[in-house]
Amino acid sequence: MEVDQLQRNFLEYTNLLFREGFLDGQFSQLQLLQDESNPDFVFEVVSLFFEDSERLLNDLTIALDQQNVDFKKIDAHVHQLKGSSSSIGAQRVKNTCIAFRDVCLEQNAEGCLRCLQQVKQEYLLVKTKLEALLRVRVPHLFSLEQQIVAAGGAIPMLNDFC
Amino acid sequence: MSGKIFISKVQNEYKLMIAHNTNQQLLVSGIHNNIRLAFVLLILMIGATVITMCSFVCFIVLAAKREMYLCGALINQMEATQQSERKSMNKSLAFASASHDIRASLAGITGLTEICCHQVTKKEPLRSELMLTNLQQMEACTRDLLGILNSILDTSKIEAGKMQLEEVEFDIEQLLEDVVDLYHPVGMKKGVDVILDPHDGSVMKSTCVKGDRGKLKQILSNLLSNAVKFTSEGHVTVRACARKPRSLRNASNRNNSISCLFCWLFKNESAYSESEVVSSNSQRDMSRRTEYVFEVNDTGKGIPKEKQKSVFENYVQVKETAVGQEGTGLGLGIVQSLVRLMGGEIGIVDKEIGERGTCFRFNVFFSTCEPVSTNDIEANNNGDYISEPIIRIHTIPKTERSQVLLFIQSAERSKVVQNFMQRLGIKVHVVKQHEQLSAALKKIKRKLSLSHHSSSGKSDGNSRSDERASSTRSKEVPLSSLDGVDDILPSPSQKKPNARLFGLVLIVIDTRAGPFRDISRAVAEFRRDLNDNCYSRVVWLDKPDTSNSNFHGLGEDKLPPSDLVISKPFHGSRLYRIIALLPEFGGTQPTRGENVENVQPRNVGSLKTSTSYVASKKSGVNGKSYMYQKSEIEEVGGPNNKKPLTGKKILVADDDPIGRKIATFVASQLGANIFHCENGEEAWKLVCKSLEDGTNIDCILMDCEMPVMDGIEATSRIREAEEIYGVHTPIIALTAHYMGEDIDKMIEAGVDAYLTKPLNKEFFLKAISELTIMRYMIEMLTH
Repeated sequence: MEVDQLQRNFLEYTNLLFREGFLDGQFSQLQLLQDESNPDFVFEVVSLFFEDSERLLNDLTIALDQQNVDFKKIDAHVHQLKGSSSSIGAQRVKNTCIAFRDVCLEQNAEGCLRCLQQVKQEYLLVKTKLEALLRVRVPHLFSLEQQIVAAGGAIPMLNDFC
Repeated sequence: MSGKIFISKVQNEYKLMIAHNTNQQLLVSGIHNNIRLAFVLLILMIGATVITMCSFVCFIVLAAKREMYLCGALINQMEATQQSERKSMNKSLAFASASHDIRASLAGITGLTEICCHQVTKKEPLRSELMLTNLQQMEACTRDLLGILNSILDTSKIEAGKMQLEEVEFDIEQLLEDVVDLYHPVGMKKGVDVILDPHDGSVMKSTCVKGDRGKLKQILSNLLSNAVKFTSEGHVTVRACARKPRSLRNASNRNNSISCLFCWLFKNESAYSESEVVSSNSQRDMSRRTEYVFEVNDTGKGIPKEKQKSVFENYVQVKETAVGQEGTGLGLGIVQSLVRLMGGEIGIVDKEIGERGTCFRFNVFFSTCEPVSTNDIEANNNGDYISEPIIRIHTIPKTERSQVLLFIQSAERSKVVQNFMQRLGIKVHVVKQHEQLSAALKKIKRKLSLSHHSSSGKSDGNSRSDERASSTRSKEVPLSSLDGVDDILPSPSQKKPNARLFGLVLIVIDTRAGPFRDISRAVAEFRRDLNDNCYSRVVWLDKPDTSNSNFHGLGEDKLPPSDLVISKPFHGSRLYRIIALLPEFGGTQPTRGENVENVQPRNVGSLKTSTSYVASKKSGVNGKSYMYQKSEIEEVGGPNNKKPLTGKKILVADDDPIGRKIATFVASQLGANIFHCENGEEAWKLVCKSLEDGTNIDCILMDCEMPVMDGIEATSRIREAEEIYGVHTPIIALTAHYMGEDIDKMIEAGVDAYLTKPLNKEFFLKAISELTIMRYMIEMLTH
């Protein structure tokens, strides 16, 4: 495909993600930090986010499975997840975390379970979207970014969302 | 014969009898006379008494009449007074209702301006800068209008004795700068320069106070407007200094002497101790209050000695100087009342013989407070910025010190800036005419090349030993930074002087001071063939209100990128920022070898609007919040500096791995060495270890919420540990919130600044440079 077309697709897709609220300004800040000397920065941060979130979600599931639910620990985990999702700009995950924390304060175990399901859902959604955008673990699927680079173009930056 | 005797006897008897009768008669007549006399006297007495009584009665009657008359008059007068009071009451009521309407309209305008602001930022966030500034200025104008309206009402309040002082926290330095900048254009139109003299810098240390900002602004505005009004040539200087209240000591001395007297008189020991306690109590109350002395000096017509007392009376104007000038004459009366209300006094200072003009001096008392200022990230910048003090970071050997060349049109401003810089220990050359400019520049160049030739042999020998030495030292400074050009932010703890760090030659040129072509030619000649190790930077002072695109037809692309153009008057925060460019005060060196023609100017340099916060405790650094206003100082072209934080050791404490990674990345992009840890306890341990080793950490980024030990406790523990060593590491708190009690607690624990997560490169850089600069300036000015 032509580089321009690819770049336009990339922009459109990112735009879409922004519009739908999956990502916010923080993500574009990260994109801005990336430069020629660190071309993998965003990818690294995102992978780190995936790892970290999956670990946290696991911990949360285990914690909620217990007989005596330790709400303090759950709150701590959710807080961490909130922090990392806001650092990366995963807006919807962050918002769900905020709601989760409120429910946690009420010490409502059922509510927490529901929130956990929601967070997991949001996380999976944003994960697939990000994987489509950036390089992906699954080798046979080329992301838009890879295609652009392969075609010899530069990854376009979004300027409207700062 | 016997008849004769008989007759003679009878005759004798008759004679006797007659004699007896006459005696008797005489007696009787005598008595009669006496009686008559007595009678007369009696009558006289009675008459006199009667007359006296009558006259008394008359007097009393007269007095009573007068009294009745006076009473009547008094009653009339009282009625008249009451009537006039009622009249004035009605007047003020009328004012109040009228002002209510005016205020409503003003509120409408303010509200609509705010709505415009919001809409503008929403629709076109990128291209709205100019519009936003205009709107904000409109908002400022409406606010001022409101203030004026209030002050009109205040006059009547003062006269009724009902004026009260507000208590808000504000920054005196900023207020001074605002007021002086406000009157600067008016002055410039008349050819009068309005200068803010930093004097001894004492206000900078205690610039955050609690008091009535509006009234102080009123006082200063009034004095300044008078000064500008009555001056047709020359300058108007505003000076301020702060000191501990001295009068208090006198008062307490007086108290003590009186109590001594009493105790001697009454031989009562307790009286002495009582008065002592009283005086010490009042001392304690006043100990938090500092005395600020302000001076407004002008070179105008002056006020003749006889009129000096009367100018402070309401409605009195010195007539012969008010030719063609308006004014209600209310100003100075209000000013005096306000100053007195704030506990001070205002007066006219006698000038030296031969100097013309007037100098008003007044002092007020404010209590200083801890400076904490927050600005919402989401709110647009409201143009508030507070000047920062300047600190000397690094002492450089004398031959390689930075030099400043001043070529300013206004002689007084030149003198003020020169004095201030010399106070800070900077070498200053002053050029008064444009013909002397090229000669002065040549002299500097010659001196520099001489000193370099003499020290270059030295430095070559040193550099190798430095390299070896640094490699055995801690991993603070990577070897690569010693090669080539040095432009690192000097670290405060460097014990070995960096032999390669040369001073900056800063040239401040007023573009109006001479024919621009000659000036630019002289500067270009200076820059040509400048020694490799000397750096020079030119600061162009342009006329205010001219846009940069018309920079004397030269175009921004022709000027090297490290030059600065300042279009606002050169004092206050602009002056401090320029001084901060010098390496001794934390400035970074500009890069060399830029091909002048090919550089594209960046629209607004790195001094963009920042929303970083700087907050600190009184015992730590006296920091202020800093928001740069756009287009105030524009860097011509972007500075292509090397990494500004090269060699700095930064500790990142954050439990969130992503936050850590981002902070690490940002800081390492800026060239720093990063260490990280996951919670407060590790951070504390690392800091303690580094204190023991003697390898100081340059900055700590502390997340607020962490497991095991959170940021707040870690900070307080670190501060405790630091006290033992007498160090103060700048700690920047990272928080996800932008207000709330977390931040307050962090500030209490002793952080120097806080930034919001996630870490933004520019804000971080700015915060660090501000912190380093601030710390050393205070040291400089206090020693």
